[in-house]
Amino acid sequence: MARKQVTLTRSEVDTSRPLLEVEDLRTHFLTESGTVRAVDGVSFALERGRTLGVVGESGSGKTILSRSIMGLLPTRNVVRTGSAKYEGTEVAGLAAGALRGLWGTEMAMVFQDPMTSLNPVMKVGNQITESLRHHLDMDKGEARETAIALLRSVGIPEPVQRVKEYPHQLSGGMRQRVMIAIALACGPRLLFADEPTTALDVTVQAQILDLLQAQQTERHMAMVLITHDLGVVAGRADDIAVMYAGKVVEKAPTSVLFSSTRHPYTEALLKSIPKLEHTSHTRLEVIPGRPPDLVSPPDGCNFSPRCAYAQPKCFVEEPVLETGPGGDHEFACWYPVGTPQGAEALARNQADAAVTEEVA
Amino acid sequence: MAGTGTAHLRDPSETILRAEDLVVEFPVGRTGLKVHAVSGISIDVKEGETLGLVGESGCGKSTTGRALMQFPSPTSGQVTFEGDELTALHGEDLRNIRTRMQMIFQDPISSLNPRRTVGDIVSEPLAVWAEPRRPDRGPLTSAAAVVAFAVAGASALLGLIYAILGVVVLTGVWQSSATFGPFTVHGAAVGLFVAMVGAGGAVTFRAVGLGLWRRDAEGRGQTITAFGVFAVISLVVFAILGGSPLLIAVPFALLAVVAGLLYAPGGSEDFPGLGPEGAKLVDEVLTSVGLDPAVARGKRPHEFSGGQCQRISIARALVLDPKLIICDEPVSALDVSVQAQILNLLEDMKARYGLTLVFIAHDLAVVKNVSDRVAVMYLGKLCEVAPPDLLYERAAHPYTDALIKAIPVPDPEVRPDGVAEKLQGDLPSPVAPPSGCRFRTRCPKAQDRCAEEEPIIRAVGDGQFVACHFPLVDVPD
Repeated sequence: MARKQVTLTRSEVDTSRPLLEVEDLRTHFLTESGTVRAVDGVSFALERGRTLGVVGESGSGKTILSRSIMGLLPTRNVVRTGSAKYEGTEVAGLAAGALRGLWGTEMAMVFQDPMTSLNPVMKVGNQITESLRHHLDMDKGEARETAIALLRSVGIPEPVQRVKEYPHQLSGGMRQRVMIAIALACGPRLLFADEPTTALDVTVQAQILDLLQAQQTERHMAMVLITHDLGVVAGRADDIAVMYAGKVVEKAPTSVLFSSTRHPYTEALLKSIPKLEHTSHTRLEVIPGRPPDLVSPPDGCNFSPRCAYAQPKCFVEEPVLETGPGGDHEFACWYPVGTPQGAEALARNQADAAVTEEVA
Repeated sequence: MAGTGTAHLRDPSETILRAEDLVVEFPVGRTGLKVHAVSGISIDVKEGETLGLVGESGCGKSTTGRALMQFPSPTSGQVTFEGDELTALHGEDLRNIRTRMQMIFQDPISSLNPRRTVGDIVSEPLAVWAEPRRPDRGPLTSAAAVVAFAVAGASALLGLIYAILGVVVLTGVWQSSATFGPFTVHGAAVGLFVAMVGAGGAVTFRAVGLGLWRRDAEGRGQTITAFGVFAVISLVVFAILGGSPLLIAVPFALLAVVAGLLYAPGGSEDFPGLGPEGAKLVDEVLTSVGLDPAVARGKRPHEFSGGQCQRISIARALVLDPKLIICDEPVSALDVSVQAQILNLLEDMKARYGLTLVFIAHDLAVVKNVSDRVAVMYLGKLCEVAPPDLLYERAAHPYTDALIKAIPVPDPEVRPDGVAEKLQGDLPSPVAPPSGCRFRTRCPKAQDRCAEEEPIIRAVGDGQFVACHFPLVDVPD
């Protein structure tokens, strides 16, 4: 079989550089109603063996970001600019045939919905061996043994029987384990996990996240963990990037992000999670309104119409992602949380709201 | 876990809904095996209280919620709602309780009809209950209706055949024999007329019987007028044609229409119809769930986000002003930020409309936020019943403890607990549940006794009840 592949020989690889470097990546969809700016200028770097958590609401562009890097987007009516370098090789804009050489062996993806991501008319064993035989040229018996070993390693009991079963015979958690086994089959060094636990129960979610973490450590694999739940990434990601309307609004090492949250959106997301230590019937703090229309985003800061800190400047001028004091904490906000300007802005808005209430 | 017993039930006079020893089983194909979805659950809810039902997928919490609604009815057990024994009700009587008990489903987008406007969706309950309730039909009325329907259908068919034969003979395609009857222009016209009336009667009867068409005050007036016109026309035609024997079928066809009307399900006079009063109520409910009625009414569900669709579902449930709403995972499909909006909305609606809620979810943190009392379920049985704050402070059941530990904490200082502390494996098959305590196969504290003897639910503190042989808290003697 003649395969057009990008084969990375180890000698070419410069280990001093990050595994993945994304620079000003933009993905726009051309639709009837206008250009949807799904990803609008995202940059980050991911080191080997590290985990980046990407957090945001539905429609914030986090899934499209990962698909843009993987090259899993439709070819028509998509405009993609910017660069994504994997091991120093530009992967943005590569043809599908060339990308096929990277998929599975270099980068892999675990999708959100294990119910619909598996082929319902194919035995799970064959779904795992498919990529093993294609990429690693294993023979049938060898691939089968490897599949069984993989299923065992992702915690599926009786893997010898399971390889002969169809997806509908497995529970949701088991199916997600199979998805992980498929993604890990060819030993990728970069794993995208796109909401891997959103469709699952909390108990199973904990199991799956533990499994991903264990596999990551074992294989020294880098991971991009995409989720809408800050609770999921809190204890598991090294760095977190918070996305809003196609842009990264705050990025920091996990502990820094939680201890000194700077962006009002991150703060609002954190506050909207019901917490166990709160007594029951505690009023949840909500983010008013809904995410902006990505065809015609608001002027100035995208978050300004929903922001508790918003000032006149925010509606006109768009803040850029800048590194704050300390060096590794980036945020895009004119009146950051936890700074004198932010506190002043919030106090002014609260005073205004009180006045409006009195008038009403 | 997972035991039976009724120690946690309160005095029936205090509660609005009480289910005792609820069992729901489903057959597995023709194997003779059964899925034991719910196996002896007893719960009760006080007026104005929110009962949280929590557990993993497949634990039977949704089935319990549906069994409370008699949707479908439980295999055995009793459900008492406001003094009515629901499991004994059938047909029209059962339908009548639906105005007082409503349900909100998990997937907001697929639980709304994509082809109808939001105005139609929210006002449909009013359309269904638009007219004063009719006394129950006796068996005689039903039998008469069925006979009239059959005769109308038969006459429609006969009339059609007669008309076709008439046309065929008149056009000279086929020579009639003298014995077959007088095929004239008149004959064909009569046949066609009878066919139309008969078909009209039969179709009305079926449409009404299937609930495709319901009476409201205006519609009934129109129907009566239409009958009058029909009756006059049929008499005139009868006179002109000089009394064709086929016309005998006409009164039967009319009878089928009338019977159809008698057969139509009625409403209750407690509700406004679709008139201006109903429209006002729909606007009011849409406003209270945070939608602008002027904008929302004419749109269809796909034009809204998931959170907004859930608001529409809530509006639809509220429009009949029910006493009780069963919320089946109403926020599981939503983002955290939207989830907070919907949870707050449910609390507001509860206060504003004086609702009692049964809130079903798998996330204990969500359930804790909205509930006054939480019931933890596992594989068709109850594990623990307690006030939410107490449940979190000192979980008595090992399963509750595992559920609490599984919730991701949005704080990087709290590292996820070691694997050993977490619940491993999947739920056992509900077709052949484990003996004794159903949780024992995954329980870190399981002993031999757990396999032999099913734990019975008992009090372990102030309002806290647990079904476990070895609870995590001290049991008062």
